[in-house]
Amino acid sequence: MRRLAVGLTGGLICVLGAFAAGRRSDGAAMQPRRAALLNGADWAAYGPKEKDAYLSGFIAGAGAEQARALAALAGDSLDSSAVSSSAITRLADEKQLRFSYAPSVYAAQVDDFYWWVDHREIPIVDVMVTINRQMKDR
Amino acid sequence: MRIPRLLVAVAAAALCVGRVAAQEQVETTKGKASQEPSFTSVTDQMLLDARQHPNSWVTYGHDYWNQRWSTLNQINTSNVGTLHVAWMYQTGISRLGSFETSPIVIDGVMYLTTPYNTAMAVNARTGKEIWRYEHKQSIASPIYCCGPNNRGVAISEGTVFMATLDAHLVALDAKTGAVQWDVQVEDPEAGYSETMAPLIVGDKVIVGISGGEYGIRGFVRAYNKSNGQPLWTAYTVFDKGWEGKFTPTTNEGEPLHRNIDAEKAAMAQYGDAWQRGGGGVWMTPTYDPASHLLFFAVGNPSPDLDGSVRPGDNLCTDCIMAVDANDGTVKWYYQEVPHDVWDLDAVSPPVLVKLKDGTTAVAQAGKTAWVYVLNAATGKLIRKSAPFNRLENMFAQPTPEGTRMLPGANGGSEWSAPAVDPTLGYMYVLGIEQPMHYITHSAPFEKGKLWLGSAFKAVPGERQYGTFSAVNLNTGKIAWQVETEQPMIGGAMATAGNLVFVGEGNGHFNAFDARTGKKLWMFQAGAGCNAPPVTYMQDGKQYIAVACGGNFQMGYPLGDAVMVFTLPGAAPKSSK
Repeated sequence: MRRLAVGLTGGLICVLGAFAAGRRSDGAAMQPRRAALLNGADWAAYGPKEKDAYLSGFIAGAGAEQARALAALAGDSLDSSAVSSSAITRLADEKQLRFSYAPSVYAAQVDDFYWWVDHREIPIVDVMVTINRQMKDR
Repeated sequence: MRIPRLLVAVAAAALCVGRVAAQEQVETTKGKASQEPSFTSVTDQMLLDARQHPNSWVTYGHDYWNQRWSTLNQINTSNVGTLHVAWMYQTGISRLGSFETSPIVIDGVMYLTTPYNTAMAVNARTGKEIWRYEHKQSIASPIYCCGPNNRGVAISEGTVFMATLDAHLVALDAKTGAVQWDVQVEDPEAGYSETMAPLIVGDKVIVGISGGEYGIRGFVRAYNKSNGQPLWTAYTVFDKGWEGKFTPTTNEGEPLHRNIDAEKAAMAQYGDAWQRGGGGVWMTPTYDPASHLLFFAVGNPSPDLDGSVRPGDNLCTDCIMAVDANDGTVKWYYQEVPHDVWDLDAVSPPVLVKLKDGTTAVAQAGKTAWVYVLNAATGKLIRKSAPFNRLENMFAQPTPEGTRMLPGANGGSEWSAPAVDPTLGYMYVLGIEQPMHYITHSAPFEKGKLWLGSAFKAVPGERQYGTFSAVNLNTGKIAWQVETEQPMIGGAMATAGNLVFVGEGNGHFNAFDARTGKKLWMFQAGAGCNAPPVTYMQDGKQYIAVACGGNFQMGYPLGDAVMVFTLPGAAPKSSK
């Protein structure tokens, strides 16, 4: 669980970058929001490309933090090389990434999740954690 | 609830099998020398001549025309009532799923697959296992719809081919199960998966891809059967012209109630939707050696129900396609539902038939509950059958309140493999009567129902049932139809004994008079018989085999047994 929380923190960093602090797809100005609190309403406003960008950032961020955590465990340096794209790619090649599916796969699952109106207040981050766990547990 | 019921049924069946197996043992040990499987090498000619050699079942649809029709007639309308269990094979694999395998049987060896891609060879006389190969999935949790399943193997020369949930194509030694080669067809973590039984055509092994629920771009691909090298790919989702003509109706004129203006306006934003446009190919193609054309059914666009982000006709989802088997060039296509937002796609495998007027036609049972009969040379519609299920509020657009419609998202005919009796011109079609509400949004939360987040729901309180129909392909009329307790999913098989066999989710495995629909025999298998049956002849005796392991998608009782039936007594002299 702890490792997961660490991974998510990293993921959010990338999500923030990808989303420029919560710009909506329609270009309308909105109050800056914490990326961790983006939810089903935000998701509904995204087009396929924005969903892809969000999820790509999330997956890359989670991978980076996973690589960083592994480096820490091994007592390696935590400088930028530990969280480089090559480190994440290596994890992917070794089938070790926790968020291992393509953005399109997660997008379909998140779409499904938010079809239930009761779910819309739940942050996307939490949805990602939930659906990833469910897919891995299948 | 299910497990005790299943155990009781299996125990009962085992007692029955014990008695019968003893009897069979006495009969078959008389010719002990012939009990050893011969592992006949399957030549291209054997595949081409499959209809003329009914003792074996050499390819998914029995022969290249996919008719699932055998000229065997030892078991017929006069004696089918005495059919009993010859043997039963249980895989013993505790991880169950939809047991949809269609066995391949050649000279005493039966090849099977399980939902999670274990392939096995068993002695077709006795049910004794010869070898098994357990495919190690390349990722921990492959993504697939709709429940784990595999529909069987293909065989050529000394090699068995299986496509897997993690989107691999594996070649196995037919005698030992040893891996000869293993290639990744596509990236399983991007939502690609394989469920179909491959098809052998000459030096090629043909597979389609699944994953239309996860934004894939569908295709059919040919591999060199000797080494697994890819030879050609025919994409089912077109990069050019995917939007089509924005047709307001189906090809047959039914209104689709589309907002064409809105779709055209959305093209600027979503013109690239073909890149994730779906179009999976679930089922084994049919092949016409005379024209060298492959015919296959193409599944739903992606996303299934939200048409706003994929404007246009979404060619060629929901299509019947014909491609050149030599190079994958598209020859023609026929789209059943342009811009589908109901999941009424083309899934059930097409069959080739010769109509009374001599025309070679492709027939496909749609989720729309019509059988489409197309000219095999041109793709032009010859006729559309009378509906084999009720049609209500057809192609009504989903609404926030929910639009009631029939057929529901499961059909009509799902992936179920039909059979054809070419002497009657009848196609035997499994149907689903499952009224559904199509809803654009808003629904009460159902705890634990995370995976049902799709905008269609069975209408609460409404009766669901199944149909089994004989469709006259020469007239389009329903020759006969029987209702079944539950929606039908699996497959059929017809024989020259004037019989057609089909199983049900409640465990019934039935034989009907192919001419009238009169039920002549039934066996309770204890788990859903939701797989296509096959038949073969061994040592002068005809056998009927079917996998009875239920269906995950429909919630039918799961199991792991392949049941094999024959007539009592020794083989008649005339059959030897």
